[in-house]
Amino acid sequence: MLNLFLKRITQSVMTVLGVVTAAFFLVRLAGDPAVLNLSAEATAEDIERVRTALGLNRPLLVQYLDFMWRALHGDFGVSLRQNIPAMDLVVERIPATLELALTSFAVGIGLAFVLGVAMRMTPSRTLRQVIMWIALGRQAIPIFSFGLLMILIFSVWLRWLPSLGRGTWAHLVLPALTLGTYELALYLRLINASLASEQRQDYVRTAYAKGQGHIKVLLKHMLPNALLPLVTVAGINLGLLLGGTVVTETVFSWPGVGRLIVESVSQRDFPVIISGVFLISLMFVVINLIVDILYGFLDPRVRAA
Amino acid sequence: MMRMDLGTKLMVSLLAIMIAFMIVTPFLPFYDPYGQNLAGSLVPIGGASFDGRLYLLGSDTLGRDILSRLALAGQVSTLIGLGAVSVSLVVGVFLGLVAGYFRGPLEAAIMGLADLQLSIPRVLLLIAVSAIVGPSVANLALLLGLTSWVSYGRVARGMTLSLREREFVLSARTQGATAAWNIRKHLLPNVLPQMLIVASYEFGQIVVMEASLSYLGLGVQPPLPSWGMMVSEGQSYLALAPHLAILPSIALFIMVAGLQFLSQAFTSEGDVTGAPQRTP
Amino acid sequence: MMADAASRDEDVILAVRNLSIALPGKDGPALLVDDVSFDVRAHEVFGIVGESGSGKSLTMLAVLGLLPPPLRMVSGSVKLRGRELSGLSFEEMRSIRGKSMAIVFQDPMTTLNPVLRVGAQIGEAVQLHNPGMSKQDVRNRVIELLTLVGIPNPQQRYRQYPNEFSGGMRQRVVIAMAMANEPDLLIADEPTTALDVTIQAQVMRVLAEVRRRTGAAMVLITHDLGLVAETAERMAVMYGGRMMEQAPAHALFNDPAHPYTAGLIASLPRVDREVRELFSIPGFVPDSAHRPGGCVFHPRCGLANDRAICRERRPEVAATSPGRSVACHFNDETAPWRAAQERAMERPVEARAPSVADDSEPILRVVDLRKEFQIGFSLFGFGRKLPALRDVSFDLIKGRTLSVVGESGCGKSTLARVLLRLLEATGGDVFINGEPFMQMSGPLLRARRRNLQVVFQDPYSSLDPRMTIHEVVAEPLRIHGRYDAKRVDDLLAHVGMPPQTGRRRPSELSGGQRQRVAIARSLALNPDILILDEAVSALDVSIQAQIINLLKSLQAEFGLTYIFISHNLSVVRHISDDVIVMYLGHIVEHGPVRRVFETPAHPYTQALLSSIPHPQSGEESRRKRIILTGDLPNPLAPPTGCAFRTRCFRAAAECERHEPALTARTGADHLSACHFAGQTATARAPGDEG
Repeated sequence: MLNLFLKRITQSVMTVLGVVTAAFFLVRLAGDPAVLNLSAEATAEDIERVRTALGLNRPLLVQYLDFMWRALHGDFGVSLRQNIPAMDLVVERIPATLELALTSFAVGIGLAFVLGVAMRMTPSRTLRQVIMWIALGRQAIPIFSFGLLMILIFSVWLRWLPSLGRGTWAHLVLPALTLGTYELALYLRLINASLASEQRQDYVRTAYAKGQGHIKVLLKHMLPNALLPLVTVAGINLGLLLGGTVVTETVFSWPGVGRLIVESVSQRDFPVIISGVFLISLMFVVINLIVDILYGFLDPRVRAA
Repeated sequence: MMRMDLGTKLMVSLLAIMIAFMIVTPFLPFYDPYGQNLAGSLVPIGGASFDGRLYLLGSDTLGRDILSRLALAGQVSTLIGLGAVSVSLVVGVFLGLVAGYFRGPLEAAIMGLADLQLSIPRVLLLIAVSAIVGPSVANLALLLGLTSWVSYGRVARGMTLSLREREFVLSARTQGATAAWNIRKHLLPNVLPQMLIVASYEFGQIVVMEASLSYLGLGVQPPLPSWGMMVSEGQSYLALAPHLAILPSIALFIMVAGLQFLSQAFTSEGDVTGAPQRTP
Repeated sequence: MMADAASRDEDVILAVRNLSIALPGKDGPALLVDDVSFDVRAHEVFGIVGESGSGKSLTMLAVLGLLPPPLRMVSGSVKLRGRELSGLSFEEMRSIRGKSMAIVFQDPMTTLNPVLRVGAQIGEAVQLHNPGMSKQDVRNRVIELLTLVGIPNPQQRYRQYPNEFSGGMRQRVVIAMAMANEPDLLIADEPTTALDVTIQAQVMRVLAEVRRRTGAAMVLITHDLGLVAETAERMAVMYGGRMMEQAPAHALFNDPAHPYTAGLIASLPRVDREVRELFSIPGFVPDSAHRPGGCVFHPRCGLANDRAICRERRPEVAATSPGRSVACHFNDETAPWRAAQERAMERPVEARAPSVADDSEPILRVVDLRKEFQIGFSLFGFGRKLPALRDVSFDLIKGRTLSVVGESGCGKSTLARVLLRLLEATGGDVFINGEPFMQMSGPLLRARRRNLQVVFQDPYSSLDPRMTIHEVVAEPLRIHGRYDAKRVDDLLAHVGMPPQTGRRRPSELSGGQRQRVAIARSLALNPDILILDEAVSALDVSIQAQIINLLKSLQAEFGLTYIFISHNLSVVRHISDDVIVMYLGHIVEHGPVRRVFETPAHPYTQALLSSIPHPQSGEESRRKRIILTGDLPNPLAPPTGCAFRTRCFRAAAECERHEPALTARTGADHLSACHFAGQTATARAPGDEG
């Protein structure tokens, strides 16, 4: 168990270092930072001066190590447009993104859980089929399309809910519904597949042979086993969730990290883009690490290893 | 061999019809995805402009024919999708087979790369890279392809890990088969059908990804149309002309759902794509 | 009918009448179980034997009302203590399952829920039928049950998860769960098939003990004729979903009335006698969708002789004498037919020609072969080493068959893989025809590999599902650029397959046919040595005999040398010239098969041999049985000194200190590694457990 932790932590650190390395190359691909820092009329001398000031004359390896060192302190440079540290701009937006992501996740997985169990318990094949079709159908609608549909129905036609911005809980409803139902579709399919495979296990037959009833077999025996793969997949799908926030935030003008990144792209503000991508990746890695450790506690087989 | 339920039949037929439209439309007399017409701005579905031109699916703000643009956008999406799927299929299967068959440090390196890539949400990675290298159809296909090899790579590696211990592969080794022989004769033929199932699902995902990027303004660039871009253009006229955003959304839905149901029908019951496995 | 008379008997616990189970399909339902009737009486053990697909397990699942959908019981009646069960609702059945009837499934690794504590799982069975019981009482009862099935430290084990138990211990837990409410009827469905033979002996003893305490009747479902013979009082034989024969166990073995039963018994290799060739039932077990009409056994039957009545009319089960019934049109011909078969088989085995002079250079020489597996990750360099082979040495003379036996984890399969260079040895040497094989690499290795070929256990994964049979057999030829279509047809002909089979794919073949193809493939390169790694273990008894006979005739024809790896001692006795017994990576005994089996020197060999149930053994051998205590020690931390001492009934202080060396016993060629080798097993009463 301890070995497993050490191994996972090492892996996570390696991943973060990998992300930083990728970021370094991305920044280099973006072009000469000195040129980007200056206006179009800058002379060759100006550029040379800035290059020296930014340390771009040093060997590449030194620059890389320097970049790495500063990255580990969250320093990816200064925003080219607002002249404050890029990371500060990103950190400011984190609460909004977390609010959206967590609400959506809770809505999605909660509903998936309830529907998944209901699907196992209903004797109606048609009902199961219909729920599955809806889930598959929802998964096939891109987030931006679904978001606009929500705005069209609830803001434009019914005028029930605001369509843009963040503030009251009412602002949260549509974005969370948009992203949450996407999560729902994903997890419902998963819970369903996973329960279906647990159903065929010997221990289920054994539980029935003891005289246990359907509901108890489902809740007490199958569900804890079916949840294990779900925990793992939830960690991996976090990437989809975080990616989903980018689009959702843009649709609903939600002032989160994703929207900041998209805006920065049109302003070619690279330090902000890189800071945002790095921070979100860091969140992904850390949450996954936690999920894995959690998994270790949930599954006695892993715990014993 | 393959049983389709009602929903699957419906979605797959719709997809087939849409593809037929995409192919046929360019040969129709009114096909004109670029031509602007100030007299025909925001014509509703089935309406005509002031100068008497008929718009089967209406027109956008600049008076361009939506049907023509939808068809062209569909072709662009399909082209990018096919390009990206081919790139990711080749890269993913190759890396997956190599990692699974040779094990050792090579496997650790390849799967480390996969983990690294998974830890940067794909949309963000694409935004960052496409912001930097500049979006073009070829770049998009390549980028989308290179960022989606992981699904194939993981499934291919997983299958290879189990296949290489299967007795027919062991037996070929004892007969003096080389690694190349085993990969060519046993692993590839057994892995490929599964890969095509993954591909049919991934194709839909790539279309969504491209549409999302285009929606954000980072994908296909004007004047070339894209479904995502059309939705984004329509967002401002949601109250006035909802069909602007709805029509490309429906096209996207048919494309993605059709592919998804199709891959679901291929996969009998378990879903390879829905449940990514973590590397141990 | 006799069955009706019996059902009136007060003694009858379970009465099954005309039970049929169907699988709905496009072309109408397929009957998986067809018109089966039997009784189980109080306190008795009723055995049901049959090969795979005979419907024996389904029958008992139907009795419990646990048929997996879409299977359905389409007709018949099931009465438990006179109460009709077939029409009961799910809720009504719940109160019976686990209370009056309980079941022990085959695989203890999957029967327990991996995420629930063992105590909770047994407790569930207790609580379900005693809703008023207090938590403390349930707990006490569970601990009592754990003690009953012989689990040490029940207080502590109560709180553990299934993965902390060995296979044998898990099966004890499953038995405890089944016995929680002292049911009238215990159904044991292949309860020891997944276990090693020494553990099987432990588990069978536990089952006998719990039945003695509670007086439960037991239905034992198994494919193992020996096991059922020494456990059951009465038994039934099923084939193709039909009941073939019912009789008291000893009568059934000494005087089978159905030609199928007679054939099954004759095709079993036995430890207690030598025969030249096994009897084998021709053909293969039909699958449920393609069962022949008339008598389901007629295409394979030695009595049918193409008689119309066997093809056309289904024989009904008819009583032949009190307590016996059989479903055969010509059952009075069985005895003479059987006698003729026996005479043919029992022709004396001519002493095997010492094929090549014993002083000739051995074809295979293995010297101090070692293999260690690296366990755990070694990021910080502290991976642990698992020794799987420890200084294994032996010579093998051309044309002979050497068997390697032992339980799972003894290293026999690792040995095969190391010899085949599928795994790299950690140390030691192997010489084939005098050439050092372990040092070869590249093209030379690939060329020399042809000397040593292999047939694996699993007929389902040994052939590439995407190739035709012709391509499968041609593959080794193609690898070496020597493809020749005629040679492929020849090879197929040698294993008894017509050349047309070449166009088919593995999925169209039965297990036995696939194994024939695998053998043909292994012969393609004219190997000197063939490793048979559990090559007949996955096959049904009637098919196993066919393949063993085929292997023997091929050996004579091509002068092959065999290394036969198996856990089945009866088969080993029949097929081999020499035998090696392994335990925890060590060779503990090595010698000519007859001497090892008749005068085993090592206590482990003695225990293994005594654990084999066989049809003719009966009460006496069960009494003499040596039941080893405990499980295989953790191979990561093997015991000091003699590896076997922790389970040995003869262990002394010396065994802890010194590792015994392989030394000569009854002759220079019979070696064993024990400080007290050869003393009779009864020197101490070893049977008593813990």
